[in-house]
Amino acid sequence: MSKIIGIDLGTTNSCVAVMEGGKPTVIANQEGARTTPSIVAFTKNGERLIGEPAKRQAVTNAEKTISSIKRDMGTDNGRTIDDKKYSPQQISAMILQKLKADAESYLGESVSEAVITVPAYFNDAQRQATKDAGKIAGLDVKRIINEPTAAALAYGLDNEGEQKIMVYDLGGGTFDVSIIEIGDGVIKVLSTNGDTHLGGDDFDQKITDWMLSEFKNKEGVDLSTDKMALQRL
Amino acid sequence: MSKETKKKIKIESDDKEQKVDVKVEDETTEEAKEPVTEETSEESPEADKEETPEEAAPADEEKTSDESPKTDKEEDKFGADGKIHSGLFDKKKKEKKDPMKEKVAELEDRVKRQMAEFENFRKRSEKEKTQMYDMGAKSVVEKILPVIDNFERGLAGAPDDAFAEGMQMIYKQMTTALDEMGVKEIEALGKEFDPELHNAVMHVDDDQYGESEVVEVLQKGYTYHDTVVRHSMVKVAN
Repeated sequence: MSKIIGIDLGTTNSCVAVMEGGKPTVIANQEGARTTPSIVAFTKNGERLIGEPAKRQAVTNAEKTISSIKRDMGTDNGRTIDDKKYSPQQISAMILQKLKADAESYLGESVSEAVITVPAYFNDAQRQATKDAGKIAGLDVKRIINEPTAAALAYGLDNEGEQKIMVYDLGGGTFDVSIIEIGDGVIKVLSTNGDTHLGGDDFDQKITDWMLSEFKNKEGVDLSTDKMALQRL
Repeated sequence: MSKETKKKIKIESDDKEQKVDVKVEDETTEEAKEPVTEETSEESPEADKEETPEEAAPADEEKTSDESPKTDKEEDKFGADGKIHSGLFDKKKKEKKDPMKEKVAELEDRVKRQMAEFENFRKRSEKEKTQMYDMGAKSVVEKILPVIDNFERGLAGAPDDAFAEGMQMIYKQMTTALDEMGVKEIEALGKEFDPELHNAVMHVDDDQYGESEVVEVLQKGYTYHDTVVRHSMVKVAN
């Protein structure tokens, strides 16, 4: 029997890991990075790009680049590209396929089973859509786990007796806070909330803005009009 | 009578069982070894995986059923019943020893998995070892690239004097050294945009340029032995 991979299917970035010798190991993708942008793109030549390459061409091919599909999971808000309609499940499946392929090349064996995490606030439709995406990608989704629960498990908190903990999840595009209760090997999400449009990317923007204003004050040069300088920031 | 006879029978049958046991166990170990060696030699992992459980299953059964008489429980049962035909004995044994059998099968399965995992790990480490040098070199090159960038920026705005000329020569020396190491600049300007090599950060609609043509390089990209160290940061038309 083959290994089961664990997938964090994120809004902006996704990540895949596997248990090795009893410990989880994050699998680096083909490009050598430990996270893969959750971006799918169709080039002008009809080629399909997923992850880093898709991100690199997003600026010049915006209308055929799909990002943040996770926000539409469980809805019918698919994307139409080249007159072909793709459901959120199908788009997610493409990302899952890429992660699966990376895991397979790392493990040197085929992978057919996975555990996927979803935000605690996901409803049944969204969870089912995530499961369907896995199926489309050729993965038998063994379990859908709440993200804060997975975080708690990763820290081995389930072995420390009964307790309540708070989990912060600061992602690239979202920020979630959950309160979970652990007891008797059962992990229960008591409450979850957050900002689905606040994430690390906003922090980056703030820092960039701050640097621009500092530079303007000190050197009297407005870099915000200089695109090359902006890119360097 | 029969305490002695009982004992005798018990010992006899035990011996018999033991002999069979040893023999079969040898077979199983041989069988168990085989798929593992196959795994090392074969490239396709799918084929291995399908084979391993199939071969493992019969081996499991043999081993469990033969090993079970060693346990105290089995001896007790036999001692109490006295003369029992071996056929019936086997049957009863199998029924009774289910949890044991399951446990052995489970453990054996676990060993097989660990072996396979270790084998993959070994292969991967080997691969990683061969890549180690390149990876190290790549990360050093990555750190040097911003220095090259700044050389270029500085030289672009430098006055035309002897000092600048000297710096130009040092810059050249540096790029030559990198070139000899296998670090090459990614050609971008005027080429068709390729997301594997280029990172598009700006887009412009301009009819005087071709479809997906790179019209400006904002930051040079470099490859090291055919792997990208840094993508060219480019502006793409249309």
